[in-house]
Amino acid sequence: MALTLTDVAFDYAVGTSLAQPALRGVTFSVAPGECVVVLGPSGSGKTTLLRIAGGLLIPSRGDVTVDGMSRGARRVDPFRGAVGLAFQRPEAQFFAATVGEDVAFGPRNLGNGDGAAAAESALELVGLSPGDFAERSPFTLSGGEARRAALAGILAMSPRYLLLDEPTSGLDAAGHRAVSEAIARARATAGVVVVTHDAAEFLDHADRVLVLQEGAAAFSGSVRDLLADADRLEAGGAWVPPEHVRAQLLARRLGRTTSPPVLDPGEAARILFASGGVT
Amino acid sequence: MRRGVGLGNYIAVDSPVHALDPAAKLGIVSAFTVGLFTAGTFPGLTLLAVTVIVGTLAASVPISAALRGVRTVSLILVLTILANALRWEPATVALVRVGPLAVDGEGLASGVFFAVRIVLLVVGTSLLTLTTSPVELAGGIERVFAPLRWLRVPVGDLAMTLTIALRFIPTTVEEADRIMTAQTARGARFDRGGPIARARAYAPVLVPLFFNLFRRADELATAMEARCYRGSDGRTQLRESRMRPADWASLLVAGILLIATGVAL
Amino acid sequence: MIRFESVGFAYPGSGGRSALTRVTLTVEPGELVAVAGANGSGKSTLARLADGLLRPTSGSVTVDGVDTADDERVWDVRSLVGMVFQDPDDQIVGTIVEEDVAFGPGNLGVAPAELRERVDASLAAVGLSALSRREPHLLSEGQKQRVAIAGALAMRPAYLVLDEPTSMLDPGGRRSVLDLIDGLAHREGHGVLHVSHDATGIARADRVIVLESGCVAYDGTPAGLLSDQAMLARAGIALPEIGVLADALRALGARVPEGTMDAESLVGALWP
Repeated sequence: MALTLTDVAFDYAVGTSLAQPALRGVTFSVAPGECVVVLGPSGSGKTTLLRIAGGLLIPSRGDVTVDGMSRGARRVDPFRGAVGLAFQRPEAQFFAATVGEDVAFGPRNLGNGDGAAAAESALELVGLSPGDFAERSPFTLSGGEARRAALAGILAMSPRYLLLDEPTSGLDAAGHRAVSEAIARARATAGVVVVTHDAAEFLDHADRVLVLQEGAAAFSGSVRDLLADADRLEAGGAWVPPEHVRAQLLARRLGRTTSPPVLDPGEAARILFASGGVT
Repeated sequence: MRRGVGLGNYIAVDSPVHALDPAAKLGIVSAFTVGLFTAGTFPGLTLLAVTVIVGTLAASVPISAALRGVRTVSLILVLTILANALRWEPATVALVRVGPLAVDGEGLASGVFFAVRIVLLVVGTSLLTLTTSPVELAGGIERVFAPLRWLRVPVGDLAMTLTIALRFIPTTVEEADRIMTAQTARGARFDRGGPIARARAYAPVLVPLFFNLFRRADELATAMEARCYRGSDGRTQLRESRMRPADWASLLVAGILLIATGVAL
Repeated sequence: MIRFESVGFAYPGSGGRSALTRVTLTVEPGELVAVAGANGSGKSTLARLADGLLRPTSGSVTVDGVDTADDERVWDVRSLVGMVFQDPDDQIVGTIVEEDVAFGPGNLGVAPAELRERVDASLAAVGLSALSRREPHLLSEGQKQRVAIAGALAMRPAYLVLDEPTSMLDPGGRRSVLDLIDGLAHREGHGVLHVSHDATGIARADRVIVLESGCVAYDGTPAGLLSDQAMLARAGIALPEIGVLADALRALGARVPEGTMDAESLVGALWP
């Protein structure tokens, strides 16, 4: 079981003077329980990739399959209900009078009764108690609460794959934490793809990382390999590593250490401190 | 990644036509349009066609851009020619006959005449929007209608409103597209059931769209206040809009052409 | 200078619940002051008070001695203080970049020749001269935010108030906007009030003010704030890994200055 994209390409505005490729042959897959982080500067094709993986854009070339089924093969849409997609700032899509009703919209569309039960368990999952929140107007929530309620609207459809575009952008530290915890819980039942331009945030959860640059994969592999390859990716402009990783890269360039950079700041401190000559 | 729709069809280059006062351009286009509908003969039409060609060349915009509008009316053009050219029998002097249908020379000529008139209208008016940014155009409209201020019509504020509406069209289109895609991802269907069911299906798109628009309008009003917008009195603009000799001269030429096509030709 | 003197503010219809309570602060020309605080702590309210968009319910706000509550002179205040908001899409009025930049000074009645000069200078200051004839919606978010800053600069304000201008930008866009803000305060001599909950942005300020439920909870150096875990939590700021790394190195006995927030200074401190 996996959501798989094989050699996927996409061109915008075909046949006009604005035509330009947004993706040029990208391959990746995610299985339930896995977490794949997609990095890249704005305009690198991250959002296009997400829309294709969510079945909302048909690629100009290449295949997308959900658990082995592609769209063309059957009359049933294989994406429907199986793949949940949250765009940037999903709270801008609230429309119902209450949070409970808004969250129930997805499961109801999927023919899952009135969706109330699904909505309740989704609200629990994102850490918003249904008793306190289900009857409130979604337009009165704070930033972090609104973001989590919007994510609950996706999770209520019980997707096997969860695609998230910048899930924590614009939130303060508490909001970041609450959203990451919700995502970690969702991972128990779903494969998660997180698109982000924050270099550090989700890496410690990632099973695999895809770095996009101008619509092509500049890197694809484990976090360990990403860090080992950081020099090249940084020099090529594909990835700006988090500052503590950059510090380790700098130390290595200066010949102070030979170890590849690590993600954990505590471990990094021990490596740098042990490498000698530290004042 | 945003790749928005182009706003209008303005092409930002420097040319003598771009440099003309928008108010003068509005006057010229009005004169041209009146001329087109008063011109009754091919020589008159030819004179106007030459004007359009000279204008297009002077505006240094790509011919394809100037002709883009023609494509959208191509069906109308074909119908216009056919409707005029085709006659049921008995036609007076038929050029071609297909069964009971006949094409007669006079009809064909008037069909072509009307079609050329439409092409010139489309190309001529698109020259205005190709060479004038929406903001300049709004400014031009403001000045043309300035006398209405005496009737207490808030011309300046209306022009500002028009400019902002133009500015927010692409943003709103993108937002509508984003919300619709997001709700589709939540299983919403917009193509099922009768008209009422379909209209209801759009609520999850329209409610957030309007909510966001009102929020945006509120923010924008605050930002405009912070940028010292106090109504249009005393505002200055980057492109100084004042009729210069070249503008008056162009307007005069347009007037002469109008009289020439209407009266003489 | 911008001076807040024991400022209190309650939104109408909030049942008297104050958004700000007894806030006192100053921003001098050439000074970069950061304002931090969790979502809902009153940061944006403070920004709007500095420009006279809101008026204090108690206390006073003055800009170069002009009271923002003075109806006669509110436009003087607004031309002295340039505002930049979080979402550039909510503040760009023009359909062409240069027309938008001209909007503010145009409202001040600046003559067209000088208007042209100001627009060109402001766009050059934010590095967007080449895009002056573009339509704003075709720009990247970072570029749009720089257009918004150029629009404020074109009014030739003495002060700039920026309300979370980097929160929607990617790391590249964020860095270029932070560099720009830094230069505007420290090279160009503007007094800058930068509302932010990003530790990297705060680290570059001369002074930081933390708001908590509308009250000033901290007023001091960025280094002092960034080394105070409890205060960071109250300010809703997550210490980036580089800060955690610096702390861990200090715990091991390395001499890394407080508030080190970038790789170059950290490595420079370790191996001088």
